Amino acid sequence: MAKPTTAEIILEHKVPINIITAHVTSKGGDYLVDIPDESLETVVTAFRKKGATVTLPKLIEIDKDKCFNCGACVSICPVEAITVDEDNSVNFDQETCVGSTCSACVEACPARAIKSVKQNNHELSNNAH
Amino acid sequence: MCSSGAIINVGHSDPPIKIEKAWINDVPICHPGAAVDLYIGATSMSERQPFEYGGGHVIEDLVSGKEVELKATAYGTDCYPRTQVKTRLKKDDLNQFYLLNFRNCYQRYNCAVNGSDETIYTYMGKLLPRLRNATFSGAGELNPLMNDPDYETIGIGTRIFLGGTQGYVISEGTQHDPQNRFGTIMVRGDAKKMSPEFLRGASFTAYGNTLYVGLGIPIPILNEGLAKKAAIRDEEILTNVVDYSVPRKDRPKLAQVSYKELKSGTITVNDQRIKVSSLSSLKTARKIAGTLKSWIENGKFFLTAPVERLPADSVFKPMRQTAETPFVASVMQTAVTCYANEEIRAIAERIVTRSVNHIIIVDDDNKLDGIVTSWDITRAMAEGKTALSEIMTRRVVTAKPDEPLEAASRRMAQHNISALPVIDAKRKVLGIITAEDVSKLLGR
Repeated sequence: MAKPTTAEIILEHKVPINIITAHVTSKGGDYLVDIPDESLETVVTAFRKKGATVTLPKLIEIDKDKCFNCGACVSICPVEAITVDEDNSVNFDQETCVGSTCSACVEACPARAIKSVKQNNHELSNNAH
Repeated sequence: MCSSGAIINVGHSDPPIKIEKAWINDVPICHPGAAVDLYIGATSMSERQPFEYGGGHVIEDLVSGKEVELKATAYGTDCYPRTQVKTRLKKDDLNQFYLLNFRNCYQRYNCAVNGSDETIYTYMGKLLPRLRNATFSGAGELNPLMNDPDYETIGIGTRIFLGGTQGYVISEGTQHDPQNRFGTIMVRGDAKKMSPEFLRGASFTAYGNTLYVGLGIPIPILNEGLAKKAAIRDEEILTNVVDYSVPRKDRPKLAQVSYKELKSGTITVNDQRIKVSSLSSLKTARKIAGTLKSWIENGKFFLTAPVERLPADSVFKPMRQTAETPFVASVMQTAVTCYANEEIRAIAERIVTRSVNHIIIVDDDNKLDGIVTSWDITRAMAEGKTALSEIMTRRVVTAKPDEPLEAASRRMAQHNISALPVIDAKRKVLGIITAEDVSKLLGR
């Protein structure tokens, strides 16, 4: 029978874990979770101890050689993860980006410099057997 | 800019070919002149990867020194017997490779928004519904034509920075509209000497391919007037916020904003704050200005006086349309109608006397109830049916009088039917259009 791994970790470490997506069956499942920065290490270690596979995904990849800093992606981003700085360079903030569930910037890029990193559910999984 | 491209001469093959159709990396290439002169249009799209790879990318690949594949076909003549050729080429294999852009460097441009309920994909990029984002292009106070608006120093023969090397202004650009501050220039430069840093192929999702062109023009400050004009600031350069969801030539203008506001990242339209971003690279614009400055300081670039002035009073005209765009109302005919309680025999008589194939069934208020065809009647007679209500079609595909005839015609084809009742907003029957009438007008 499956153990409530996520619930146990939340209780044991008193850390808020925000589940973004989840695919769960009686045999186990995959979660995409948001963990506060300060408890990242503790939580990842705890999951791994309980037998879960944990990966820390990059959400969006920008090819700096292809990007020519036009800015077409900036106004499209719903969470302001893409900004233009003082010297007109386009900047991307991994922390703010919501990733593959959004990917609005990918098709808006005329240079095709942005790739959404596919969230591989098996690599990300919390195999709570 | 989309109105860009490159003219190339690929040399003669042996035996020679008079190219009729050509492709480079699967991108169709124009063949405007003699045997082996070709024009690579920036917007031409790859047949295998349309929207993702196009003429702009071919130019960028050649400029970068990459090898490209040329395929060409011809009908064959006594002097040019060859009918097909396939070869691989690099820029050094070409006799001439000139960037030849017929419209570049727009003095200013619209700010684009989308007032509809669905995302649209345009040459101004991806526009989110209900004005959720805005895009603009152009460098504002850095734009050369904005700094010399009366073309005192920029004219035919002006030496410029183009794609990382030296090029020239050869004319005003197409659609040059100086009086509305939408001036443009036509430019030419040796693409063999250009750099991919300042020449990039680009993809606009669901719109097409294009080429990003790096262009800079030195403006000598010859007098006080020029100094004043060249000191123009972003806050003085205004442009319209235009709703691109309206698919017409003249789209609604929702507000006026300055380039200062555009570059700030937010504009306000009808009290709604909208995130706005550029489509052209301001960073590259600054880099071009800096590079050009250093070339001049180091004596690598010499300023030129124009040999001829650019027009300052020309007008940009719309297309003269000799055929009126047909609407449903223009081919609509009076409908032959009946009521649902009539007998089939009476309808059959009416089909014969009025010489029609479709009878529209209406209620007492002349509202659409159904439709019946001569075929339906024939079959009913054969099956011995007498009541119209048994055989009439109640779910009727209709048309509106103000919709383009093309749209109504497409709908008839999709549903495999030969007529549409024309109704108003209250479903009152105004008339009928038939496939026969449409084909007479649209010629198919």
